[in-house]
Amino acid sequence: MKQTIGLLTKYFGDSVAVEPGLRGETFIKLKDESRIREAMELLRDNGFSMLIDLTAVHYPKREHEFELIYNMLAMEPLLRLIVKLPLKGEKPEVESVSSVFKTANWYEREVYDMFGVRFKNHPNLKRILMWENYEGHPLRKEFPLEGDNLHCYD
Amino acid sequence: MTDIKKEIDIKTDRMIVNMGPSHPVTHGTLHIVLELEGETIEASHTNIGYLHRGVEKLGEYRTYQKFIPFTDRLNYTSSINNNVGYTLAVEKLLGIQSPPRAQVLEVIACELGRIADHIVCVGINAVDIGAFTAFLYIFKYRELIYDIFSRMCGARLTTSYTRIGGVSRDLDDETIRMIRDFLTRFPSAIDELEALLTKNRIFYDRTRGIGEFSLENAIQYGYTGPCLRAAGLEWDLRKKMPYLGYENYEFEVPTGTRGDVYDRYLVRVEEMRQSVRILEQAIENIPEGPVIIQDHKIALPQKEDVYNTIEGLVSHMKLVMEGVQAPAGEIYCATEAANGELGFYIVSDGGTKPYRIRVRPPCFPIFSSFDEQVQGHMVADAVSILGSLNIIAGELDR
Repeated sequence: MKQTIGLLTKYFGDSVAVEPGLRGETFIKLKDESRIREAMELLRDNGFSMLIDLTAVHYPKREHEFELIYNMLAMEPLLRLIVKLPLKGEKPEVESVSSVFKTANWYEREVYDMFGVRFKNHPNLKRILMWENYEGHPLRKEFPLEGDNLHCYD
Repeated sequence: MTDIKKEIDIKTDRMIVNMGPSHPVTHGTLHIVLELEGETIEASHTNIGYLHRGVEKLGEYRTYQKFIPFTDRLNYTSSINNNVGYTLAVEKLLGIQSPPRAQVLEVIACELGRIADHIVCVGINAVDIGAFTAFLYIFKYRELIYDIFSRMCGARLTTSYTRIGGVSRDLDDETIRMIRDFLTRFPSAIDELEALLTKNRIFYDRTRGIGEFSLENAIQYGYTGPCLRAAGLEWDLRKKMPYLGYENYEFEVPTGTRGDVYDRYLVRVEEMRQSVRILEQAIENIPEGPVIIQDHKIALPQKEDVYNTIEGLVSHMKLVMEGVQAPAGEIYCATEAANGELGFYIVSDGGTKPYRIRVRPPCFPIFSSFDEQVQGHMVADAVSILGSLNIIAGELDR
């Protein structure tokens, strides 16, 4: 794990910050969102061969409203690394990693569907769980839990 | 030499075939659109989301305990594995461990759930291909498991067996007798199943080489569980990253070589045998002691304490009204469910409700490879591939 972090700091310098997790996980915060594809390629070629999960968290009160979470797995030896990517703005756009990991295709569609984060160069960026004409993004914090229409509470 | 031009290229119109959303082989509500050239599949498009209930959104509005019933409805063929996976994640967030007896009971529950799940998957896959008899023979044993579940937790399907810090009920002697009885009868049932399927010429022809998937592709697509093992990688979280004391049990991890439907079937059958082995070891070595943690900030106190002591009453009231106080932070906890890696990513802001709860379902990445897998196969093969991937719509759409 130290090797990987060393590698990341070597290539990305100050834009990488290591955060210790609550129960022994390693979180890496990548501050430069334009280099996520590069980072994923670097990790994939250095042992982290599987992208286990890709999801997002919405923090409406922060400057960086969204945080993408790339959950990486190295198989030999077993290591888990969680790369966090904070994104600015209400409708952010970020480079797709579906060319690096095929599994990212559906995960990115789900993040787009649920949070409204757009992915550049994605082969098929459509809604996946909700239907096509649906308005709103359900997992955003301002989206209501209940209601018979598709409008959001003010 | 002159170039010989390809003069005739007979192409017929492509036929579009809809499978689903309601179709006998989808075993859930999925929609698959197949583009056929004759009987060969040229392209396939999948639509999911018919069973989307917003489980992750609902979880943000409920305390940690109240999310447990939602996990029953993720993978509903082995709901007990989801219960265990979720409570382990919350226990990791709280930094606690359930008592030794509870851990063994959870292992027993998990392995029974795994067997039930594999019975469904193998049995239904065989039915889709046309081997109805095998299904009838093996499904009887799922019924026995469900009888055990209903004694263990009072429900057959919506088990909600585990609690944060332990399990809801202890095993009684009658249940242990039933599990022992099941363990003596079940191995011969697997033999029976194998006798009907493994060397069955029709079954072999319908499954061998179908849906072949290379290991590199499987890793690229984020495969876990039996489908990854069938592609040839010995990868089992119970071995690689033991939880619940799985390191104390002797069992082997079966792997395949070609990653096709037949290999997935073989891996699942062998896993059932290994689960029986784990169960035999677990049922003989259940330690004495409580089944739930004795910390009344996390687990409900005994009913006698609630009625007779003021401390019990207050902690009961606080736990029911407010819930468990979790520290701020983020954790990811993964377990080996019947289908693959079931992970829970919990973001806590220090309250009694999760700020964000993410379920990493095993079959979501597996199903995303379906379009690529069926290309070039026949229509009937799409059915057997779909069955072998073990797609559970409840967990796919959450």
